[in-house]
Amino acid sequence: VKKRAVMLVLGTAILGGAILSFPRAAQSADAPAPAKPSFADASALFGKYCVSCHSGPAPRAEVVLKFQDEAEVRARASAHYDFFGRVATELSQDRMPPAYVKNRPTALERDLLLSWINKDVLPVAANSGRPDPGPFVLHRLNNREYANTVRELLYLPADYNAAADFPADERGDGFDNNSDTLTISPVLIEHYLGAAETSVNKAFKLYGADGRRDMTLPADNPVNAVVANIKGDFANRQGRVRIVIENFLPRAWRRPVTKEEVDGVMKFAALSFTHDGESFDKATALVIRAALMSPEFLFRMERDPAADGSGKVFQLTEFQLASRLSYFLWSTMPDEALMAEAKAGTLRKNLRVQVARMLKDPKSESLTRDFLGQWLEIRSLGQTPNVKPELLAAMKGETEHFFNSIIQQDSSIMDFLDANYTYVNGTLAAHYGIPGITGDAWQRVKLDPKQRGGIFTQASILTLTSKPLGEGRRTSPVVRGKWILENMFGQTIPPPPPNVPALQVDDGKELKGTVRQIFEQHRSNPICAGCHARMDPYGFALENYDGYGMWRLQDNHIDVDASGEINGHKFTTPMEFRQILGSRKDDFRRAFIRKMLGYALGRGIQGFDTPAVNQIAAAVQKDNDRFSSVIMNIVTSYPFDNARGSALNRPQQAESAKLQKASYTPANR
Amino acid sequence: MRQPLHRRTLLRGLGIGIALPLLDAMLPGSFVGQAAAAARGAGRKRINRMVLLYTPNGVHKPFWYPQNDDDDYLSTQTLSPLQRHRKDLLLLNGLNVDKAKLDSAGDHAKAMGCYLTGVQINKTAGDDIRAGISCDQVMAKAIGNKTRFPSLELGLDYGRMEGGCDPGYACIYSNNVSWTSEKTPAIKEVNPRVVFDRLFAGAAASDHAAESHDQQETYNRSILDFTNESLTDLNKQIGAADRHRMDEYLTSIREIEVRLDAPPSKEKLPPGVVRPTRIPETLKEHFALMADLQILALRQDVTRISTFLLGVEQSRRTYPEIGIPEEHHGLTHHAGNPEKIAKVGQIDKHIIEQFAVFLDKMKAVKEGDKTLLDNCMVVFGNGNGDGAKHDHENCATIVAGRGAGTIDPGRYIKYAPGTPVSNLWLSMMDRMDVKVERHGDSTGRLTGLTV
Repeated sequence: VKKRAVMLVLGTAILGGAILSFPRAAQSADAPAPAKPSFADASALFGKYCVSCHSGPAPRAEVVLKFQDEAEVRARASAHYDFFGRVATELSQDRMPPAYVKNRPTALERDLLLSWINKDVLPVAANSGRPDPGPFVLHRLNNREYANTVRELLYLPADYNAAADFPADERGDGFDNNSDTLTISPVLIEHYLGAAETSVNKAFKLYGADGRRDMTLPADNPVNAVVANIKGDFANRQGRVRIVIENFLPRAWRRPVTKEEVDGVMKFAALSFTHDGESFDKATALVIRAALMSPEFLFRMERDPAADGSGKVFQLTEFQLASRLSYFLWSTMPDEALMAEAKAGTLRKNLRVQVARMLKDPKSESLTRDFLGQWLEIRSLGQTPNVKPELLAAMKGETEHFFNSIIQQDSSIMDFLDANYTYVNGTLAAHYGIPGITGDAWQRVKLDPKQRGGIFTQASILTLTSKPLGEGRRTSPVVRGKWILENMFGQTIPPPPPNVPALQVDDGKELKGTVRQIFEQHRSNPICAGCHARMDPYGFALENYDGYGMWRLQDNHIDVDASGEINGHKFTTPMEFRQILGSRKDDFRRAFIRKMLGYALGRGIQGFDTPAVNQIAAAVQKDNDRFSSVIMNIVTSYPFDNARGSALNRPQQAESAKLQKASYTPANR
Repeated sequence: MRQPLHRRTLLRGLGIGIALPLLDAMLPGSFVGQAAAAARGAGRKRINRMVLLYTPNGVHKPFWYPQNDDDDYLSTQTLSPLQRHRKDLLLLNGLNVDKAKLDSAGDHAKAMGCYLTGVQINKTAGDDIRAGISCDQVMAKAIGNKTRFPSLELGLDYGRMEGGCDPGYACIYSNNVSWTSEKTPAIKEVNPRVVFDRLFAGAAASDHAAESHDQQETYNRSILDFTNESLTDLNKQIGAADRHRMDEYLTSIREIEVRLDAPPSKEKLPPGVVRPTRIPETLKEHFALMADLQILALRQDVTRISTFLLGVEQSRRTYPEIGIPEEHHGLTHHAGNPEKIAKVGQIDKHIIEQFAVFLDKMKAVKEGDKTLLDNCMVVFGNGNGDGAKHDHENCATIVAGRGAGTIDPGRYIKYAPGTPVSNLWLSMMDRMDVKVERHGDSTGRLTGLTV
């Protein structure tokens, strides 16, 4: 007991409140919390760390964490569906207890409380009939969504990027489509104005002959014939512009539009006729520029139909669902088929067919480029010092082809943990020492299971988790271990304490001894041991791969030691290591689903999402972890299909009634 | 990390070579800045401006500050390049960013997020981003309407595009020093060509092109009107709690509307100014171009407020051009390794050398019998304090320029340890005629800026 107390003081003093495992916990590295924490356990922890503020007549933040019995917990969870979700968020992000409080839960205690909330309490909330799909969000198109959408909308060439000069998007929770970090500023509005003008001009070849067809439609679209058949006298020009815009606007705004809305943008045709002569193209172009600056285009709108401040949950319209689907799987606007289903009201009914079609479409490569690239951080490979660009491209190519094949062949997501195949081109085959493969073409190869298997044995990951050393690169077991725990298993590793006496690895030139030997010294320091015991075994297991992911038996002329112990399971080879990871399938599945769901929703996953994550995970497991099952279960999940309306709102029923008026589209003219 | 070349401006293959700094030949001394001319014409007092340079990853303080009281304060290893500007700058000691000490870990995010805002930032990886309005934006809101651009936000890198930044904190905090509201950073521009076009497209255009440019601006003005109306309608359908994003949009649009309504600047650019074509690879060249753009903007009175981010926090820039292939951030966690410390010192000094050149150029621009630098307050600083310790204490701070006669430079001032850097911001706001009683965690004005 005395030793514990000393360590606690030491821990908080040096870490400034960062989570610290006790050396005792560290010995059984990465020890899971007790399987079934009870109400009594949880209540004791609340009592120890929380109730001094969160109880009594004036509880802090009006949050009470003192409970008489389990029944009271259930009642609270049922009445306030996001109450415990918020508690879980505060805990997991280490926001509570606040940093100035010296009496802090240990990592184990924190895990125990979270486990109790996730397993015992949140399912109650989910079954209370008041689950929480998460807030309604106003989602600005990010740069790549904007570029893809403009290109598709105006039928511009594949290499046209309207957002090439835009300032980079900020990211939240690891992704650049997080609505809370997609802010707007005058600089961006200027870029939007410029990009709209440039793109439309490009589409119309404005200074050529006056349009004989509608440039916003493909050449074979029947509307072109209508436009061409209207004789070109000025009296008819306004009418021609209108026909084009009536087709364009629902596509641009991703929903049916009202007659008033068409009238609204048609003012710009008149403006153009006044200032710029009688050109059909110029008038149409100006209308389109205006439409592209509208919030209806720049944002994915999910209007709360009640908008009465009640915060009631609403189901998305099928048009909104079509947008969510399309930006999730394609990073671009919904296509004609999706819009047709939404218009007919059959999208939900035919969701399975539509999703299967979308995954087959080449546009689903955005999942590889944007989801995978950000999840596994391989988008940053391009900035890796001391690696030839050609090799870097091949490394990235392997991981992308690997993921793409999981999508296209609908393989198990467990292939990320262990697979007996990968994809190589000539460059990478040479790098891996696989004979007989040359040239730029990619091909699937069978792997020697003694050497490789699983995403973390791919050169891309092994390189981005190594560090520059002199002219070359050295491995970093810490970075590799942290990468696996965070990206594969969704664990959070606190940062090292400031000013810790660190190891002398990087003297900029060479190493003395193996990387592992140097890191082992580091772990002998009790201040560091707690966290490093959790991370390092995962990194040591990969010591057979050098700083570029090449297989090796020696490091610095000394035999590599790739053995270790995780959760009491010993391993000596990469194969045995993979078997241990294979026993963490549940953790990986949940981590993968949380990442994918966060990307799909464009927001961070919160405590109140836990029931949905659990449900999806159970269904995916039943489907043998097939990739399509992850996608299908996400797009049919409660948070994907619904949104929580805005609370604290003033009643605006008149306006929302206006919005729901009969829509006006060319088809029902 | 080397900066990526812009796709459309890969001009090297065409033999065009390295981009020249915009004002390579220095501006002829006869050029009188627009702001000075305006002030003289109206018979008003001199116009003051504020430029703030933020350097990432702290500095190595033992190389920065004099170690003994009687040491010359500009003879330290890092600051020696500034000796020629001795009479034009103040070295400040004792300023803290105390709000960055709150909450656990995340020191880089907090260093940047708290620096100009003076508030505790909300610890979040994505949901509920919250910092505070930064002092430059307080100024921009108060006096920004006097110039075509209320403020400029520039930087030398955007920040990390994948992976995490500081644990528990969204990258938005460690990528942005300037915040227009507690939820919204002022997005910075990194590409010199884009900045040039934004600031000077009208002034640089030929007469024919200018006519077309004006017509398009008229159209854009109408489009923004229309967008404004749509937003106003839309706001009625959106809950108050969710309205901030639409408010951002509306505010941004209004700012541009005001600009488009103002009579177009007839001021031509000085001869010899060349439109930049690409993002230079080295910090030195990129810094020079962005510095030139700011000098040009201040001289033309296009804006009076500028923030300039020399790198995002945790910047992983490498400096092979000065023999340092390692990443800056990694080196700052030197753990006492003398070789790493030496390299951190080299980087700090390299950056200060560029700052010294920036000041040279500002002095070369005449405004009446004064110089542009005389009519500016140029701050060089950071919120991390010591790059290895992240102590947020005694943060390296230089104030250059005479602030249009409101500052007496040429001294080393030691403040009581723990004086909030927000006090400096408050004093600078005074000197920009922006009167506020508090900013963030300020406890009062910073004394001693004048003798």
